[in-house]
Amino acid sequence: VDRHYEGAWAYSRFLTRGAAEAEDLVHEAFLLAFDRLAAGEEFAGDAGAWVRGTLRNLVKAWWREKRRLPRDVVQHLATLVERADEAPSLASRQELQAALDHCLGLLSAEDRELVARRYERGLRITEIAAELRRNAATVRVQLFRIRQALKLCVEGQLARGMGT
Amino acid sequence: VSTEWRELLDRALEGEELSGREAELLARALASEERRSEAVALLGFEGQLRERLAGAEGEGAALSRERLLAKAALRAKAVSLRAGAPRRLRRVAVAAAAAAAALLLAALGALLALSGRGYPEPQASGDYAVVGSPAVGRGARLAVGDKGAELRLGGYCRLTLDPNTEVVVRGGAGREAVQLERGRVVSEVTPGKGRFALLTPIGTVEVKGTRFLTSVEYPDSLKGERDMGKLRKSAVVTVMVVTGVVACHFGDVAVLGPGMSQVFAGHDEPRASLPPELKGFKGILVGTITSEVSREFNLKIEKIATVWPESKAEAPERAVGKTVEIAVGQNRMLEQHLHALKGMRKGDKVIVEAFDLQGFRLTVMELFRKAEGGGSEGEVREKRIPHEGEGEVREKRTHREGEGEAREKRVPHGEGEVREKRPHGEGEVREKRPHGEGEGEVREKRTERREGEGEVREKKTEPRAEGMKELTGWVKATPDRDCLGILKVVERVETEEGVREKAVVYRIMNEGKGEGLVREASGRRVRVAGIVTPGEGEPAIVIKEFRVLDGPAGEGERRDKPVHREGEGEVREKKLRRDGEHEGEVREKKIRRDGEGEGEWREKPVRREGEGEVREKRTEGEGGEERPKPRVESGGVATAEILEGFRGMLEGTVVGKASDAVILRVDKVVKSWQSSTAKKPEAMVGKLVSLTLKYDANANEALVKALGEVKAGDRVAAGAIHHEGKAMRLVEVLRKLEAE
Repeated sequence: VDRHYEGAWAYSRFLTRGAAEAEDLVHEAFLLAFDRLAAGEEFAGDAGAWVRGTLRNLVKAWWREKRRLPRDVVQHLATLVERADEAPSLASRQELQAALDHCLGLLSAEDRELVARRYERGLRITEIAAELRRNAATVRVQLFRIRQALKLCVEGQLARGMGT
Repeated sequence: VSTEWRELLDRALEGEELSGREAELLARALASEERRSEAVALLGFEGQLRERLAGAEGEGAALSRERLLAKAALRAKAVSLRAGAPRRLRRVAVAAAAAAAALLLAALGALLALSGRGYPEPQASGDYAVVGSPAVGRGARLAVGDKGAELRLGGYCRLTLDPNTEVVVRGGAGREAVQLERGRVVSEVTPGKGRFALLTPIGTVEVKGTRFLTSVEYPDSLKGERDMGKLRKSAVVTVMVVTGVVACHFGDVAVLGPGMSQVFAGHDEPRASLPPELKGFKGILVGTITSEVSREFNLKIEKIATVWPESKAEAPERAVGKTVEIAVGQNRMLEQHLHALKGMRKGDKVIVEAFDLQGFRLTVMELFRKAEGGGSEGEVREKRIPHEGEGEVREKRTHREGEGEAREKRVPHGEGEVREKRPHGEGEVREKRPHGEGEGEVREKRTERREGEGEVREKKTEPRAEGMKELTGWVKATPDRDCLGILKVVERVETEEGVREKAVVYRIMNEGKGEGLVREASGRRVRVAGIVTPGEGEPAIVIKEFRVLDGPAGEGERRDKPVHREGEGEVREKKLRRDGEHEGEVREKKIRRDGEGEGEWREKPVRREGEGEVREKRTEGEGGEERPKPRVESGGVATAEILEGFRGMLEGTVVGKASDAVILRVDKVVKSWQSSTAKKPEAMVGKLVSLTLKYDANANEALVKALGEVKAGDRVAAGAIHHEGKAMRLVEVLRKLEAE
């Protein structure tokens, strides 16, 4: 628990986009892990990876049952997040951090504030929209564009070897 | 309809609803490997972005982790009781077979028990001596010799005791427990047969099926010292798990899995045993803490304040002056109790609702707080026969219309002309008699006529209709539903693992006195009689009779709705005091609420149009001071239209509270912030608004703390922003206002 909880919790919040059920889902994953331990079963490989995999399955069920996403869409999303989780990082933590810092610095104050609300404070889009008294769709689109721009910028930085 | 698949993906992940067409477009887009790769890259980048930027998650994660551990400990207990029960729905078939087998085994077990082979008695073998009792049994202390010994309990626990170990056999059938005073024990517990707890001087290890090792050492004590109960020593407890999972309660809960071990250190306190007169006790005690405070502590009893009707203790009052061990149990109040514990020290006087659930100590139930101002806190209630409402004789006094001021007096038994006024707010005295039939009871309302006291009324109610049920709960108007309102009833169910609470919601139908109930009692606690019809979802109830129980927030006494009619002058209710004693009040309410974290709706009395003055006098536990009462009109719940767009500061009176919300009756709209778009915020005045605190990683700690501290009746100032519909968020500030 000590070693894996924080990561799993953040992962759950990421997958559910900060929904209130994120904690319940991560708890369920850990309780399943406890059951497994209680039954004397071992984890094949890293226990953290097992928890993340279980969490993905739980989130998948949650997408289907609570978010009522169509089955085929859920299947696609599950595949995507699994692949995203398993994909090797583009760069080392340090490089990425440096590139990100650089690119964040290029954002306008308004965009930077939006990013901070979303990713530093972990607010949901509807909450941000309420705070800013704007339409949720507008906020979502704006964030989407900021991410695109950041991604391009970071990739460019890394490609130019300017991450560090 | 958006056609941009990236946007659709974003919306799907965000939880927004997609139209059928949009879902189809997204699915089609993601069928392409190229797009999937792009989507993976997008998701991966967002994950990294969140990971890099979310630096403040540490605290939220830590709190969440604590909640997980508490949940795991609770679950471990529950699972250990459900022998053979399925753990996952997907294993239904297997589980059904297992359940059938378990039933078969249970039946076989019952047959064996009937044939004379009852629950196995504790058995010891090897090199040991029994100290202070003739044989190995509950309460026996075993001192193990140089060759070690073995102890078998309940047919499912095998304890290997190392040389020079000392244990006391505790527990009972299906809930075995051993108190490890010194030495080392390896415990093997067969899963699914029962509970097992190993009590150490500084904490408890609770397990389901598992094998684990526990040792207790006293590093500072002299070798060979045997005076275990008198000297305070540093104790070190080591727990090592071989298989299974154990929950260690050593101040906090730690869950250990196979191969894990942990060392706990603390101070040994003389462990108090449960006096025989408190066996089966359920009630409220007042006493002084005599040990260091952790999840378990010792309490010297000064007063038995309340004995619940369900209590089986024969003479609890004889325990006054004795010391008992009390443990804070795993129940819905756990967090609040742990919070309360932080503020308690040895020597503090406390009031605690405690039940004997374990046989060797008491467990804290709902009420647990410091006693303030001495012994007038606890109320005494008459022990009643269960099945409240069945076969009872009620003694109730009523007043006639037009009485200016009705006073009731009672002549204590055998005391001639001495008359005593009753303190107000105590309600009626019920005398119950055994009654096997729930239906067709006759209630009598009777009064004795005394000079100058008005007319005597005698009223017999009609026999109760079949299907009639009496319930006590909270009413809430639900204009947006297919019923007038809901009645939430919390039932307490006693199980082997303790008392559990179950909330049942009844739909109040638009028949009988339902409309009157919702109109008069929304947000309040009531006792109702009605006909319940089970349904597919929530059961429906047709209200036949009702009585509002909650009046002003006070010290938890029962509050009857004042008998009051238009045009009356002042009405005072007075109460009986028990014969010649100062025991506090006699009341009907089962659970004493102290206004802290109750999750109940409680409303202060309000003055209604056309009514005369209603003066309510309360017997306060501390000095009898009355809280200031708002003089506002009862305006019901604020509508969504009124709340729409509001952002600002409110002042009002707390009429209800839950763990994450507070219900205010708004007295004043102090300020509308610039961003507020509410058209007529002043329309909130006099209305009820519910302010919910968003609990998440970013929850404002000061607000969480303030919410924990306010209680019904407090006047507060609160920051509020409209969320959606009738929902308001509590933001920025929640602070108590000084009494006017």
